[in-house]
Amino acid sequence: MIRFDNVSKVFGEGQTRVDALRGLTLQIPARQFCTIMGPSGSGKSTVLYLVARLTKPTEGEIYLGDRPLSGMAERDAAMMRRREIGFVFQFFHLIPYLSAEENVSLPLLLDGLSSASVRQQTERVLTLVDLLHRRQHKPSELSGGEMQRVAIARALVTSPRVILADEPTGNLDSTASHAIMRLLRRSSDELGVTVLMVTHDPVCASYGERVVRLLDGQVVEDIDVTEGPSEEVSKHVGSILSHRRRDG
Amino acid sequence: MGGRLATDVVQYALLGLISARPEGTHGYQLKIEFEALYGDFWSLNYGQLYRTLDRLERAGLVQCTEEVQSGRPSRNVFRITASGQQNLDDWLLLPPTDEPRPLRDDLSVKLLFLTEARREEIVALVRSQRAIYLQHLARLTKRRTVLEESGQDMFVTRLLLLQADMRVRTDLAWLDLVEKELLQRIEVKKVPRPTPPKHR
Repeated sequence: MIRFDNVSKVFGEGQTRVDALRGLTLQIPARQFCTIMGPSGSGKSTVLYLVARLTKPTEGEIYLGDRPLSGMAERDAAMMRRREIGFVFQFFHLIPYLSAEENVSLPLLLDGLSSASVRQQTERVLTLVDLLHRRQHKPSELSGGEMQRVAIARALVTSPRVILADEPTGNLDSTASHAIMRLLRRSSDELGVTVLMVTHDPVCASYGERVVRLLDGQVVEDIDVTEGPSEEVSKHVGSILSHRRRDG
Repeated sequence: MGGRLATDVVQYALLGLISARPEGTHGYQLKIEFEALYGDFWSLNYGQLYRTLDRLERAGLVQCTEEVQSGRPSRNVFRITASGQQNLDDWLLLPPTDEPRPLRDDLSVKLLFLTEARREEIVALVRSQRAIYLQHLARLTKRRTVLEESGQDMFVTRLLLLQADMRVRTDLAWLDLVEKELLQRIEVKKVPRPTPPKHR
């Protein structure tokens, strides 16, 4: 689904030259929830920018599906971003003077959809993130966690194939973070979206099925986090709790 | 990561599980429940389980009755006694006195004794340790999701999971630091590093 073929990316030159990626080869299958980790400056965010064609590789090629991205015309790239990619950022990037509902419907309005289908799609994703009852609220009237849920609804409203998330919980407390991660998990499980997320937080990474660790622009670890001892015991948890005396 | 748990804590953990099932419970079920709740933190084998149940019965804290099952061997069913319930309630209200856990994982011991010349192997060790922690965390996360979606009141379990999250996070941060420092040392010693691509 997403493929990096020997990709290098250099920013600047001479004294200010930065090798953000050095021959990165990576395949992310459709529907996978893949996390990119690594220290600052390891090239994590560059991976996201390249998938969104916000920048082009210095060497190598990136494919989204079968399409190579570097030769794509700007117009087509913009169309691809609007229709096929949903973005979730650390600082939400909501428009402050628009309501939650208006923020979410914006990508559809830009695409010229009928007002009936705009309304329908917007309600669908606001329901998914459990914020339909807050649709009229402006970002300033929402908590951080709610703002990020609005941003996820906005990312999902066009039914994208890919969600690119850059430190989506960097600004949230642990309860709100878990809610956001569960939403991304569901996007992959239930909507079949491929999720590519950059995070520093291993707890967030544990919601995905794969952790790719970058160091100096190269993959140094590629971990299937779903491996390890059997899951059988988890199945019993529900039954125990239903018999259990209340904890509280 | 399942460590050993002090005998009396196992005893109270089992007593708690038995008290949660007034209709009675048996050894196999207790083992499954113990593992489901604590399996990521502590291990419990059948020997330890039955020794503990025996001790609880002799102390009069649980009552064991043999239950005949049609077509199957009869089995021992355990129920908490009034004195067991009192004992459990008293213990729950005592302040915990656990000693702080020592830094005892294998890696820290290996770090002490692996020589400087083998730094790259230590980096590999650090990385495999990181993979194990991340897999452990993924299991905890699945468990949390199951619990939250079950809609049950899970106050204590949630706190335990949070504690586990925080511990693993700290362990991983430490591994990041160890790796960073090791790589810096390797770099100083001019171990070959990936060559950057030619500038276009």
